[in-house]
Amino acid sequence: MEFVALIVKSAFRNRLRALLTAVGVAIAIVSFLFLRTIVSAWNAGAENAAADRMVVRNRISIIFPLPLSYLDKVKRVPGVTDVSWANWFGGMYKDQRNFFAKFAVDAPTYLSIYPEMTLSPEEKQAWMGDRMGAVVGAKLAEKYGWKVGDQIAIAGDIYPGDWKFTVRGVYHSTSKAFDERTMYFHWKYLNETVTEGRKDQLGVLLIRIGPGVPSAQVASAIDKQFENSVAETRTETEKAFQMAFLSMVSAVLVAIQIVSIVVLFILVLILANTMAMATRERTTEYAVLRAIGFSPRHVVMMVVGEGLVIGALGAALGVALTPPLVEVVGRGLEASLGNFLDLQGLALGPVAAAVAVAIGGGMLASAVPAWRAGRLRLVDALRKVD
Amino acid sequence: MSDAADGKPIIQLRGVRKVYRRDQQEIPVLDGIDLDIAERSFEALMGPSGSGKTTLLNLIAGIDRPTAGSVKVAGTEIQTLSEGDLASWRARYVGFIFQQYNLLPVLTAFQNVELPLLLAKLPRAERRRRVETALRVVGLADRTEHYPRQLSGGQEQRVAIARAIVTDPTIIVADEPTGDLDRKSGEEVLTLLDLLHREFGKTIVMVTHDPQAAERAEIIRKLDKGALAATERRAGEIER
Repeated sequence: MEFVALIVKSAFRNRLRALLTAVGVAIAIVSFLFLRTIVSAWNAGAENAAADRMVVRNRISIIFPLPLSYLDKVKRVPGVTDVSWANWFGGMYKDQRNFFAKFAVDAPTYLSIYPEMTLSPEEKQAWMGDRMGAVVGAKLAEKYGWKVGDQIAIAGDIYPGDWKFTVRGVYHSTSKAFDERTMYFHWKYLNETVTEGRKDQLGVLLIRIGPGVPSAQVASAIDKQFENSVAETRTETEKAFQMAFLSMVSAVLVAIQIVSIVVLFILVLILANTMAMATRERTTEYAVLRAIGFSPRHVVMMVVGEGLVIGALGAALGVALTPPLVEVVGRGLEASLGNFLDLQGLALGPVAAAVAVAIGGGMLASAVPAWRAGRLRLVDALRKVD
Repeated sequence: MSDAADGKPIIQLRGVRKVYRRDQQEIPVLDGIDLDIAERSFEALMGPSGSGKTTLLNLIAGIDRPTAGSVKVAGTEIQTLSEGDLASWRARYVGFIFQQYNLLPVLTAFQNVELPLLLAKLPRAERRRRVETALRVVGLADRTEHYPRQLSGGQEQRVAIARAIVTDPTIIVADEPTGDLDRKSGEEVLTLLDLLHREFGKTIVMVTHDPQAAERAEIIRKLDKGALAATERRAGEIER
């Protein structure tokens, strides 16, 4: 037996309590990681946004369109290398619960600006050749069992009417920021079909700037051009654009982050409570160890080590249990919210933080009991004065 | 005061006072103890409850410090040592036997005996050899993998004795080693202490209430109200 084995065995002296504490820690870790996963899912788009892409939208609100005539003017702004556009379509597939994003886009330029959206050459060619063709993300296709050639009927709301599309391709994404749960179809089809008053309107302009071109300079040049027009613009980087969306739910995100920190604090309290109980019960045992030659430092190491062992076990359990939970809850969220929140896998950062807090918390929670155990007076602890 | 019967003293107490404080009150437990205990002797400390015999044992074993006076054991003035040094000293020189055995319930008999050796930087094989030897001496070579709950009280105390001798200490202190045992088990433990004294030359200081247990010792020292009241040699001579 080595000293480490003694620590591990001592940690499980009261097995039920040690295991319940580890489970408590695991639940705290799962809660923390789950909340962080939600926050990460919200932030994923912004965090992985491309630095050379910008978005031009109506200054008043994103729900107001921009005239098609802006396209050429934006193209001519120095620093702009590519321009595309997209319109949020809305619409409903069979049922309100089947929510997923649908965009009308200018396919050739869109694919050029978003190289992370990958299609096979055959699918790309088929989509370009079909006015009513659409491409869907791999996850979306998997969810609804769609394959190339299938017909999709969408009931329009922003753009009223019964819309029919043919799946011409299933795209994959090479970036976390670009999800696989969206449908894209030709803006031309939309523009030809809508009523006269709604023709030639663009939702947002999507631009790419050249290498080393300052985005602020481009944004300023574009917005200045449309000052005092019927549709003033707001140009921002892709990241800023995504962050603007996030700011709408920032209070919720801050609340989630605060709760996740509180959960870690609770974790330390759970461990502190257990370690305090364990050391109080084993006062005589520590005194005996001291009597047979263990120094105060050895006893402190033992108690802190026990906290570390229980904390580490809880952390291991928590980290192991989180992915299946995220999977299950992710599916539940998908059922109730559609594809609104795409929960990704665990990020290394929060996992490392949770493990560090569990282990460090275990040691910290043991600090006071350990200090007391190290300082106990042997005669008192052996409880005999005679 | 009584000098050691034979040999040079390994334990020397001079003018030892011990006072406990409870709130503002001072409770004198030992008052002016002068005592020499010879190397390789087997002595018993007796006396009524509150007489200070366990306190005296604790001072000799270095788990308590005197309020005044000096305690010299195996050549070291132990009251001058720091807590850490005192712990090392105990590990080197003293083997403890408690009334309630005080084995760690999560460890096997082997592991309990091995505990003091964890402090010494010994190879695993050497530790094993020493533990097996200690368990063989106490007659529990066949109980190495048993946990304390699987042993009788007498067996537990024998494991505790094995733990006390595994480091080959100079002195063994025993606080009521038979107090929780039936007569037969108590006799076995006392026979074992006798063996350690006679065959292995250990100095043994034992606190006991039991006159029959005390009879195993060469010298019986009686305490009363914190002072040495009498010293009785096994031959029957009483010094006052």
